[in-house]
Formats: sequence, C-alpha cells, structure tokens
Amino acid sequence: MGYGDVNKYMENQTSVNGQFGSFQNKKWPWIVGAVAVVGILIYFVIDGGGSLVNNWSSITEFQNTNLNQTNQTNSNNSSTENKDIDNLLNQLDLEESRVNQSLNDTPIDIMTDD
Amino acid sequence: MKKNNLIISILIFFGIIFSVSVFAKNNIAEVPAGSENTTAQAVLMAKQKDKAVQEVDRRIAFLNEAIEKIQITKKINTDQKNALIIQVQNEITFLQQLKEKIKADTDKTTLLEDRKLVVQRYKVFGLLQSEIAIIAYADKILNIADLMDPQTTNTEAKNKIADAKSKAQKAISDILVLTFDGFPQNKSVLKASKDLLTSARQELNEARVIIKQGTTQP
Repeated sequence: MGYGDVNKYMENQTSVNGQFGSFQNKKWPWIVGAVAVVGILIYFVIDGGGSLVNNWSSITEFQNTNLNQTNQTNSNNSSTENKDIDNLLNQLDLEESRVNQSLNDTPIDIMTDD
Repeated sequence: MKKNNLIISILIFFGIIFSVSVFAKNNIAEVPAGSENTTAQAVLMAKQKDKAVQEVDRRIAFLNEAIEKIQITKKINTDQKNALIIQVQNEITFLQQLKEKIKADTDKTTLLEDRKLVVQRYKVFGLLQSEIAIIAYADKILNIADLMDPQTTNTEAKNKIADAKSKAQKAISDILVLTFDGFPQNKSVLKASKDLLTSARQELNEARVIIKQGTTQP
C-alpha cells in the first residue's frame, strides 16, 4: 500500500464515521430519552401516585393476606390435629372397656332347663 | 200335689248334676295317658330352643360386626387380616347352620346334643371375641402413636411413643398365635396383652402431656 492508498483508506474511514456517526455526536437518543422521562413524570402526576404503586400495594397486600391465611390454616390444622389426638386418646377408654367386656364375657346358660 | 212337684224338681236337679258329672268324667277319660307329659316336654323343648338360638344369635351379631372392625384395621398385615376374616366367616356359617338345625329339632336327644355343641363351641367365639377387641385397641394405639411422633422432637416423649408402639405390636403378635383349643386356658395371654395395651396407653398420655408442655413454653 502506497502513501496515496493510505489517504484513501483514511477518507473512507471518515465517511463511515460520518454515515453512522458516534453516539455522543447524535441528538436523537437524548430527545427520545427526555420525552420518555417527561412522559413517565406526566403519567405519575395524572395518576396521582400511579396505579403502578397501587398495584404494588395490592400485590404486597395479596401476599400478606395469603401469608396470613397460610399461617391461619397451618394454625387451624395444627389445632384440629391436636384436638383429634385428644379425642382419639379419649376414645381408648371405650376400646379398653370392650376388651374387658370380651374377657369377662359369659355365654347364656342354655343347659339349666333340664 | 205341691209336695209331689217339689220331689220331682229335686229329682230332675240331681239328675242333671249326675249327667253333667258323668259327661265330664267321660271327656277326661278320652285324653290319652301321657299326653300331659308330651305337652310339658314340647314346652320345655321350645324353651330350650329359644335359649340356644338366643345365644347363637348373640355370637353371630358380634362376629358380623367384627368383620368390619378387622377390615378397617391398619396395623396388621393383609395375610393376618384375611386369616382372621376367614376364621370369623367360618364360625358365622357354622353357627347359622347350627341355629337352623336347632330350630328344626323334634327329638329331645338330638336337641340336647346340639345344645351341648353350642356350649362346646364357645371356645371359638370366646377367643375370637377377645382377639378382635385387643387388635382393635392395639390398632388405635399404633395409629395415635404415628400421629404424635412427628409432633415432637422431645427425646422423652419420643421414647414413650416408641415404647407404646412396641407394646401394642407385642400384644398383637402374642394373641395371633393362640388356638381355639387352648381356650380358656390361654385367657392369661389375652389378659397379659390387655395389660400391655393399658401400659401403652399410659405412655401415650404421658407423651401427650410432655408435648403440650413443650408447645406452651415460650
């Protein structure tokens, strides 16, 4: 490559930069960004805090309610289970009396009529 | 005249009395000798049949309920369960046939033999009845122990639950090997098994108290 060729190459490079441009040299991304920010601000002002916040509250509230319900259910289950065990333990009275009854069982005397 | 009429009336009266007494005497004489005995024997046989049938019905009613109890039992294996159910069903069939035979008996001697058979057969019912009651009791203890065990990490409570389980399992295994012919001598084994279950129940109650104390502590 001669000296003239190097010059041509440098010109081409300049024209490539010129065609696509460097980001810092362009204004349109800044304009798009500014419009987006202003738009979001307007959205929040108009919506009075914004449904986004409300939605977030709803989500949090839902999560808390669910958590409470789960805790409540677990607590209820545990309480029911405890009551069940107490009831089952009390029912053993009946089982023991059945065993005693069977051990003390006497048949009807069917031979005394003779 | 009046005197004659009076005499005739008295004669007629005594004539009627005599006729009635002769008629009644003849009627009594027509009843064959020994009939009173036959009637009394028939009444006695009916009474004996009623009592025997009553006893047989009592056993059948218990055994029918026993099948349901065995079926819902969780802590004996399928083979043990099936063996017990077959024994109970065989006994129900035997008792039903014996009941029909007793009802149809017309001979005093045959009825006596059948009544004796009811008495002798009590050994099968006596053993089955106690076995099933003990198995049902042990089964409930084992089920409760299974529910309580995951509820605690307390070593003392866990040991008591484990003791209760092993006692209930021993009670079941001890009685399942008993034979009908060994009844009522083997009643001592049945009573020992019942004592094991009473002790197992006590262990569960104590474990329960420990678990409750653990959950109420801050």
